[in-house]
Amino acid sequence: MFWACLLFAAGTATLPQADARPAGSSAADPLVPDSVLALPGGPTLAVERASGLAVAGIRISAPLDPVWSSAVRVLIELALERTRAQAEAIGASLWGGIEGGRMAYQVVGDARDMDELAWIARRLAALPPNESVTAALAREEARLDRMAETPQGRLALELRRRSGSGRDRRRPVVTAGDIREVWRHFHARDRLRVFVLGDVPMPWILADLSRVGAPPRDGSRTGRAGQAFELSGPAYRPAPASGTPLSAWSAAAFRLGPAGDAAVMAATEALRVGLREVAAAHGALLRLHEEPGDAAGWMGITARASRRAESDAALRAALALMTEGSLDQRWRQGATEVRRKLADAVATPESWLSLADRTFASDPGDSSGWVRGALNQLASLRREDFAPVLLEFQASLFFPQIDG
Amino acid sequence: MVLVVATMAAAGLLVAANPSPVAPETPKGLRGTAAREPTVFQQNRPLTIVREWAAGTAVVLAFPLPPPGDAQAALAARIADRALLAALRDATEAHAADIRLERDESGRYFVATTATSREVDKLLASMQRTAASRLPAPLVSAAAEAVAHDLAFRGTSPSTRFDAVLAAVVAGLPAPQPTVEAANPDVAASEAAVPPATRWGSPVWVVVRASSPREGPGQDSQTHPRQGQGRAQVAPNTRVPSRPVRTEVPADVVTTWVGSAYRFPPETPLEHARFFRLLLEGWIEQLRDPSLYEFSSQINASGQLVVRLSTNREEHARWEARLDDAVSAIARSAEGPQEGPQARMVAALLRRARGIWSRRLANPGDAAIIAADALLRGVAPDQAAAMVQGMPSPPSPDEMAATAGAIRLTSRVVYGN
Repeated sequence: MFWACLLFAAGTATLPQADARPAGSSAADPLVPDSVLALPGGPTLAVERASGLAVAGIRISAPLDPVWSSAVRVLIELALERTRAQAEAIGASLWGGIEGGRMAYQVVGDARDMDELAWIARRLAALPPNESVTAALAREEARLDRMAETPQGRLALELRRRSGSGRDRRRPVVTAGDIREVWRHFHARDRLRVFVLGDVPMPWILADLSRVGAPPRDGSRTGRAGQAFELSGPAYRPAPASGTPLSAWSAAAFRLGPAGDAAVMAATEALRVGLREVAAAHGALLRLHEEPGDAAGWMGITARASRRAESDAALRAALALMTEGSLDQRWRQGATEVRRKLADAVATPESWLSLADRTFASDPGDSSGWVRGALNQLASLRREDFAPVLLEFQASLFFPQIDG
Repeated sequence: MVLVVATMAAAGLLVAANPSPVAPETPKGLRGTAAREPTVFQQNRPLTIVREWAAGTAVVLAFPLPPPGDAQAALAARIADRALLAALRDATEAHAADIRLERDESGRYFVATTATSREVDKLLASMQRTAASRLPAPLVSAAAEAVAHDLAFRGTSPSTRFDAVLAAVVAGLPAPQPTVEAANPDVAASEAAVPPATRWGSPVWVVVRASSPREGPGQDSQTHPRQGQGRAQVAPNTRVPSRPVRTEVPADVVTTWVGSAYRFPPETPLEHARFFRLLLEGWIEQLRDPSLYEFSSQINASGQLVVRLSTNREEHARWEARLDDAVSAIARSAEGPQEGPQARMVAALLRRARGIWSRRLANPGDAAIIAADALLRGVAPDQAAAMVQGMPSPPSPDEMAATAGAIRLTSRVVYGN
């Protein structure tokens, strides 16, 4: 309310104490938010005033730092559980999950239901009640155990261990008290970004959404926040696989670079296209796995065949796609495919919010940021932009054992 | 406020780019039992809807469905759609556009979306040239092969059989009709190669895009007020059978499929019919339990509400009764006090429907499909444009009750044991 009064008094052109960066030419570009406000103590607000749009959408996200996707997944599951009925009642879409190294919630519905949408958004980022925590923890633990039973699940767990620098190999938190600590850290207001899409006045946004989540961490107003969040608990050791596997599995894991980088996106798409050709030539089942919790872009390839020699051969052929000569043949196609996908995805309000978060730039005038910047970069990629991608691939490549 | 604009905006440019495509004739019987002939658009003249804000641009090319019961045309359409989709993707490769095909019971829609409005005229011109040209033989062969594989995989499945019987019964044809596997694939492939804009009747084109700052929202455009839409009606004035036709098709399957077709009164506004569909879906969702496997509904090309559900075989009679009870309950909801449970439920479900419909309208691709669907039904262009502008206004609970009271179950198909 404080900010609302302030803005009523001062107008949106001046935002004392808040770092307000209205986007210069972006006001006419729907792929760049109109304004980004960094409020003291958080959150950071990115607002796109979409005149005449029948819907309004809100997204709240925070970095996975440290990466502890199991614990965060429990929080997200609880948040969705307690808001699903309200969203369903107004025909709103509700989503929560992990994308590009961030945890996020979003809700999109009729613009006339904006008060309810804001209420749902606040509840999504609120502390879960104790009574629902135990069941959610048990479900997450069962999910991890199920993952450990399949080769592909074991690869995902291995990628998670790598992306978490060893910390995510812990079991999910085991008490409601732990969940409270995780919530307090991950949902601290100074870590949150709030995106608003719709024909919504700024005073309303500040009044309803400037106090979402947990209180800011100590020192966040002075820019000195950031005490490391320590994880505790025993290491998670999946039970060894039992029985004789029906197929032979081979796997490789690697990084290509930051997940939002244009060259990495194009190379990943080129790899995806190439894998289809390799799979057809080798008669093996090849799959690309990406770890959404990791902004650094860990990914893996699994090859499944009836015999080990075949799965190994298919994997070798797949990895040969990440050589200079092979990438030369495919990167343009990869870049075109990614541009097409982005162009299609950005049209829906839900995807607009997701893409704005993934391409966020603290300065709206940054021409390399936002969806517009990503599209421009993809259009202007050059061959030499892929050199760091190949170096990262070679430096990070390893071969996890996943078939028991 | 959304500005809806300028039908035929790009006509001059496009005629110049693509001189004198032959004005197509609608093949005899192509529309089957469809409600009305679609509004005849001259080729290459899109209905253009300009919005103040849109993150993407959508271009939709729509064709009517082949006539029910014509297996040869149905197979040719499947092959042609697949080949045309590939041809459109090839032709628009330079525009960073994503193109997909959507089919429902009202039409076939090729939807191109792109993040920029700047190249929309070029994108549209590329699509129009492709639709007016003979489809390349390699694409038709590949499409025919893919459709053959698909039929081998899915053609004899119980749900496909059920769909064929239901479509025939709803169209008033004696069931069962020959399914697409009975058609001659070679003949179908040669039919499919014919320029789509000629073979399938006048194509409908719709463009949804953002206004550019240079153009300004009001130039060469006019605003279409939403109140105009009330005149767009859903159904033709056709005879309704005195008793619903019930068709039971025994089959050795563990699932039972039930299809029900309802006829709206001819004066029912199209938008009321759409909201009634969402309302009924919401009502059934509230009753959902594990015995209900699938539930879906559509308003078909002849303006009938077609509801499909599948259950385990012990429960189908109960779900038939629940569906009938839902329609009756909505019809009775206006009789008691407004605070009564049924009236409250209708009001709540209408709010839910409003949210769902707003989200569809906010998506340029879906908005273009909704407008194209209206054009295929014979709705006037300004009314079709008005339907996707601004905030949707759901009918009142009383209007929904009146609609529920007036619809008639015309046929029901039960497929299973």
